[in-house]
Amino acid sequence: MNPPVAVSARQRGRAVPWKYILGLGVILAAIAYMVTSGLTQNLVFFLTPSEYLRDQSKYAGRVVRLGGVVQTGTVVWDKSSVTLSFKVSDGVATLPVVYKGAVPDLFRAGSGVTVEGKFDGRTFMGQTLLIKHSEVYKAPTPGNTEMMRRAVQDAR
Amino acid sequence: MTTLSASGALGTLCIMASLGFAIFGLVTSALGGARHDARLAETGRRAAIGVFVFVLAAVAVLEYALLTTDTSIRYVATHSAISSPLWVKIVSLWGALEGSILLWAFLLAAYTLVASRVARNDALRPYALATLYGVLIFFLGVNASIGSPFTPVPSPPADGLGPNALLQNHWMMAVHPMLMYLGFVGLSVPFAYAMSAMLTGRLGEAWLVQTRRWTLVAWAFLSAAIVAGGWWSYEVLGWGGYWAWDPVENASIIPWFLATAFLHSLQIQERRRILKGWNLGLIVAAFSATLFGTFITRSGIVESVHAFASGPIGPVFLGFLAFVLLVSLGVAWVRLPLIRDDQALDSPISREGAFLAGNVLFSAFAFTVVLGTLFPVIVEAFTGQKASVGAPFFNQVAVPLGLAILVLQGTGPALTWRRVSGEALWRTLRWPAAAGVTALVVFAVLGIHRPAVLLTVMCAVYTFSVLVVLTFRAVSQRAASGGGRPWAAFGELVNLYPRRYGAYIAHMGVVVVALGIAFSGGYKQNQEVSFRPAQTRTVLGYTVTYLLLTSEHRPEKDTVGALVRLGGREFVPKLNFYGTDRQPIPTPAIRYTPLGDTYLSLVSFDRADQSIVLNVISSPLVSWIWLGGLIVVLGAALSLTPAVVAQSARQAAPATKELAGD
Repeated sequence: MNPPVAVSARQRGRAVPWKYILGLGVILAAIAYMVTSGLTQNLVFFLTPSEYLRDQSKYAGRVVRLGGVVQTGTVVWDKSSVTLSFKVSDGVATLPVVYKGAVPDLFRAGSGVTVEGKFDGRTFMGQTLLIKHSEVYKAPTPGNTEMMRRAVQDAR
Repeated sequence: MTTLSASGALGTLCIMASLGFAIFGLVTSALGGARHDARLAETGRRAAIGVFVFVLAAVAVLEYALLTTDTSIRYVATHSAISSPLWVKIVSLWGALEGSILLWAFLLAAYTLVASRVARNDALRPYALATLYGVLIFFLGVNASIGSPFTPVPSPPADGLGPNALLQNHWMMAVHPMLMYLGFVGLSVPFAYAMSAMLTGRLGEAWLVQTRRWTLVAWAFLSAAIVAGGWWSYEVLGWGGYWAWDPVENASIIPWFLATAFLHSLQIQERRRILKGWNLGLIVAAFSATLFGTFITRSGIVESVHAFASGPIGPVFLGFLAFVLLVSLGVAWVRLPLIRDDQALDSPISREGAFLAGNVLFSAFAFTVVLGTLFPVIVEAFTGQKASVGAPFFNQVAVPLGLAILVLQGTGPALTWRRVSGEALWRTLRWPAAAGVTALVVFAVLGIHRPAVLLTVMCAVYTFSVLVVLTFRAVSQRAASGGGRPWAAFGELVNLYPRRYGAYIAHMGVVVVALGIAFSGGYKQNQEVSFRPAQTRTVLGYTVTYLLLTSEHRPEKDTVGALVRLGGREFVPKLNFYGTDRQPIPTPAIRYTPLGDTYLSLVSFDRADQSIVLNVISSPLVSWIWLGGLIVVLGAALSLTPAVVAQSARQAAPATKELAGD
């Protein structure tokens, strides 16, 4: 602490630089507007099929991530058009997914999957396929809700 | 069979010894500073040697254990394997959490040692070294406890589990993390001097002048690391991009923004003696951002494609971050009367005005990235809903901020300190402004219609022209007054003002990077197509022929490649399978050309009928980013060289420091 210096600085009695404060305020307000509007528009929610069905209108036209387990026997791979279609389930609800792109190596029926894309009605148009792989992987047995729940959890 | 790990014990001992020296150094330096006891402070200074030697020994022990695959150490058993190539074993030192913290401690000890040797013997030094010892105690303490790379394994396995597949897929992994740590850790030195300035109350320009080079070195490493990381991502991840606003990437760019702001605002204080508090705040924030980055990538609080496994390390880093912020704020609070500036800005249209505006933009950019990175955590805390913030958010904010920064970095050099007459400014800027607008029109006519790309072209041409005009003018003035040839005059100018021309070169580099980002971001195209063997298809206007599938077996990996012909040359995009990991790591094949790359990535293959799916990406000007990054670093290097003053000039102007301080 050095009081004499403090006093001398105050004694100079600088005028408050309103011009700069105003300029700074305008710049910061513009940036703040950009950030807040950008955040609300670009927030990507993670959903399970039943969460989507509960609140469909909220997610219409928005990019979301749909997570769940790839239902066995629903995987169709069309090599010529490089289109993959399958159904994703969270044990309660099941939704169809169409994804244009190659099948990643770890993609298997019964495994957890997260797809980023948009809903077109009840069909999910996937843009990116994200696969979460755990070190020790076991396919959930149908009917085993605890395992199913964990697979869905892992996919998040 | 339970065995005692000899190397584990030795390594732990080295860490402990190093920690002991750091504590000793902290106590003696702080006491030496407080009591103005030169002998005690000197003892504290020499402790840096002890810290460095023992942490070096710890690194040597871990490297030896990695090279000999000594699985009695858990770190080796879980992150290395006998079959790994030699270079992978060496770089496994920073391939996982504990080793990377040891590397951090090692580099910090090295910086501390250098600082203790070269720093001016003044009142600031003991406290600066004490601060560095304090940070060292934290990192060595983590290494000695919860983040020990020397934890023994009760019954050592015959072989290790092997390193992370991504780590061993590209030689860049030997370079990029090292650069990143050199940049991150380098910011500790200016932070230590800022703390010392606050603790001693010597808040004049001394601490800034002493740390300008340190900051510039750290900044150059950080810049190089970020560009190198982008190139690594481009070469390895197979998606043809280089930046995804992943939390780990954000963690590296936040300190860079703050350090860039600091590099500019410290010149305002050097020249005009204002912004004392702002500079202190910036460097504390930049240093804290390195800790914040380490925290978010080690704690698992945000999802990331390349985060380390979560563990108890995260909360410890958060605690240290909070400690650093509290101590800095506390000391700043006590010193508040001294931090106040005695003068005000003369005019906003001046060099310092432009620097200040740039500072606002860089800080806002840093804040935005922090917010975007943490926003999912905030949303989940309040609504319980899992969410993520997509790259579109960051891009949306980055474009206007980036363009504003681009214009400022062209305008700033044209402004003089204090104030500029409007007429003089107009004379300098009118041709560059006209060139920028002309470029915009020409590119629009040529068929570029994305506003962000067009504006980038305009700003880039403007900045480039300003720098050329300024250089040209200085050269012709010097040639006219000295009667020399223009080239000789240019050489003399660079020798006289390395800081100025280093900055010009760095700004040119940023222009090149900006063009690369704009065009590759705006006009990247990709198409995934399937091929049968010997099939030729037209993809994105290219004629691509897939010939056949190749495969290769090595001890550490299996590789499947697709032989592809494109433009008369053969390419082999590959997929690599490491160990038991079923997730393949791609090695795309890239045709590099100055105006745009063609990127071939093997997505999947079918062994039965030999068919493949190939991702073909065309990305214009993407190489300009790597080239621009190199130019930026070269500019920083030039700025670091001392000014060379000719014999005659020295007699005329004895104040060489004044001259160089442009």
